[in-house]
Amino acid sequence: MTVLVQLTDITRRFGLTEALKEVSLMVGPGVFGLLGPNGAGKTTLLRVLATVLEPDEGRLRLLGRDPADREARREIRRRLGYLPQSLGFYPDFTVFEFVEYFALLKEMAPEQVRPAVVRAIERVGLDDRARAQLKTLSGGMLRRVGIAQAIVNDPALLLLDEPTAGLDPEQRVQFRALLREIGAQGTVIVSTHLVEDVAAVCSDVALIDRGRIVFRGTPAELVAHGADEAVGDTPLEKGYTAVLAGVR
Amino acid sequence: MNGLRLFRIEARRSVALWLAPLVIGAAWLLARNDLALGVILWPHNSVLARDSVFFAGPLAAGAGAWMAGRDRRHGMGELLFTTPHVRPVRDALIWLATGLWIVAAYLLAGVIILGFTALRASWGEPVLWPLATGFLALLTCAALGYLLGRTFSSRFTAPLVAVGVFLVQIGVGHILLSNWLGMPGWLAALSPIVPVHSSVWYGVRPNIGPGQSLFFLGLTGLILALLAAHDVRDARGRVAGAGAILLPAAVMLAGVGLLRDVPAVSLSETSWSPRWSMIPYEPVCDGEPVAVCVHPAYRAVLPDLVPAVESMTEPLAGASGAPRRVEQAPEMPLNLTGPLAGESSAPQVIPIRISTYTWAGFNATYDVAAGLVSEQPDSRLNDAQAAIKAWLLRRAGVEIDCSGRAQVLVGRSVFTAEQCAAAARFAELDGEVQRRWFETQLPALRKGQLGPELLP
Repeated sequence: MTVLVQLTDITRRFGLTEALKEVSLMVGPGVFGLLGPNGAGKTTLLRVLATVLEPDEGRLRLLGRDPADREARREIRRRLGYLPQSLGFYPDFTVFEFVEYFALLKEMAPEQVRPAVVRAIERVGLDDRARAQLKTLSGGMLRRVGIAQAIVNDPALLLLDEPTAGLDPEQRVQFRALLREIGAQGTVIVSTHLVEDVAAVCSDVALIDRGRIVFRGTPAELVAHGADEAVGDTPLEKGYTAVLAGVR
Repeated sequence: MNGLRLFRIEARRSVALWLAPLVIGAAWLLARNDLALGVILWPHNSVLARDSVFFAGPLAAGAGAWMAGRDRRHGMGELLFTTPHVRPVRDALIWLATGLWIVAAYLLAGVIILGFTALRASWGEPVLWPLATGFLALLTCAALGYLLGRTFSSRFTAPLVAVGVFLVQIGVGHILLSNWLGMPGWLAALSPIVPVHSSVWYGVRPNIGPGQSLFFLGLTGLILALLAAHDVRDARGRVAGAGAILLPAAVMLAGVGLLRDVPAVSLSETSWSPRWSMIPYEPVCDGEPVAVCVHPAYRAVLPDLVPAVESMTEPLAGASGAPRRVEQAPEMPLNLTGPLAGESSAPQVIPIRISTYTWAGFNATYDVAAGLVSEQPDSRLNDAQAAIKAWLLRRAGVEIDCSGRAQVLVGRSVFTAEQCAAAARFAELDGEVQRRWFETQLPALRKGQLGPELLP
């Protein structure tokens, strides 16, 4: 397996709080699900992977490079797509301008920018709103704009923090299809607390709790942890709660 | 290429785009009275074109601060941080896009003012350095606002910065000139709106263009270097940043050095400086038998001025010692006048002053009347001279004040009741009698040797 993301004993602290504790993880191509309860450290881990936060301890390699090196970090960022949990936006920009803006900031080749922007907007189903200003869009549409800016550069590593929040069921189905498509070409790491998203698209999954990886395997392996008495409506939810109960 | 496209998006979505009409409107408000004057002068309007910096500077600074705080205001910092773009380059693009609209509006207003001047001015050419220094000052203001907006990111930063720049440029440009704080007057030249002297006689003086340009250029470079240093974390970057700061700082200090040379023709100096070389000109004349000559830039006043002068000189025509020529004297600061360009064989040439702010003949009529009755028209007139002057002014259609109480606005137009009565008696005389009286008495009258008892 080609390892595109490699974390070795990564620790990240905020003051006295250890948000990540000696996390080690290797991720290859495909869609990787990051599950965990609120405050488990999912967002912190994603921010470390997005080169927003530097780890306090441990080694990190992304796309075969060390992000601590400035030039390597720039190259990683060129091939990175990131959708933060809370997406900011410039209200006066149009959808097209916003996505184009990020394509330009990601230093795409000038001749590729326009077709890439058009394609990204089409992929999230906003082609009929491309000229609309962001301040006129609904929350779900803004989320799709965020996804469009993340995928505009056909990223080798796509990091999505709660990407389906605010999407209606139909949009979520479409989005999962999009994730599968992107996952076939690179690595997608999806942080979510919605286990049905993971069940639908992820080939691999990790469960994080209190800053530690407490489970790593396929969704089927996670389901296998679930017993009849475990809490949850679906087999995956039962596996999820059973693993958490086991480590607490 | 990508930079250009980013610039295009930033320019299209810049808040400065909405401020541009304000800049043009403010420039028009500042200039409209001067553009309506009867006499349009290139040097004056060249400074006028610069003076919209008065409002445009604070707007540029406020817009810069607003744009600098945009990422934080909209929660964009984290997402932008994950892109490989070079932050100082993006900062520079946003700053340029912000400055672009304000500068474009400022230049458009300047072009309108100068274009209007080109249509109506009868002599001379534009002086471009005031407009150029204003241009650079606006870019400096936008950069300063941007730096402050990045440093103090708050919703209130932009308005506070705009008000602050407004106060600072007034404070530096005007208060320092009045020497309230005991600071050297040349410091005032650091303000883009510092008052400068302007006239068709000596142009725009002192020429602080090179010094101001270097100062604003260096200051802008310094601010941009500080902006770039904002995000530098490694030692190599800090060394490069220090080097990048030194160059613009040196340029800025060179500008300050040039401005320090200004005291010889100090901004606060209100008297004529011998360093201000006169611009040569050939007066234009009209009228018979007394020629009325003015600077060619004032040609527009002749149609009004010549009849007024003729009405006063007509009774004196042919009298011994009567003035032969009326000529506009060069205007100097502090209401002083310079040497005449044409024939100056006083007392037969009467120097006149022409104000551009009142009816063109206002000052000139008084000067002619005073010059006709006295060889030294600036000295105090005796009662006989004053009475004849009052009579001459009435002939020219000027209302005179016989209250004897000096008033600031009317100045030398005030006469006593006795002087007015003597003028009325003289007016009742037959024209031929008046002429004969002037033929015999004019030299003595002009020398101040006639008492009121010798008036007919």
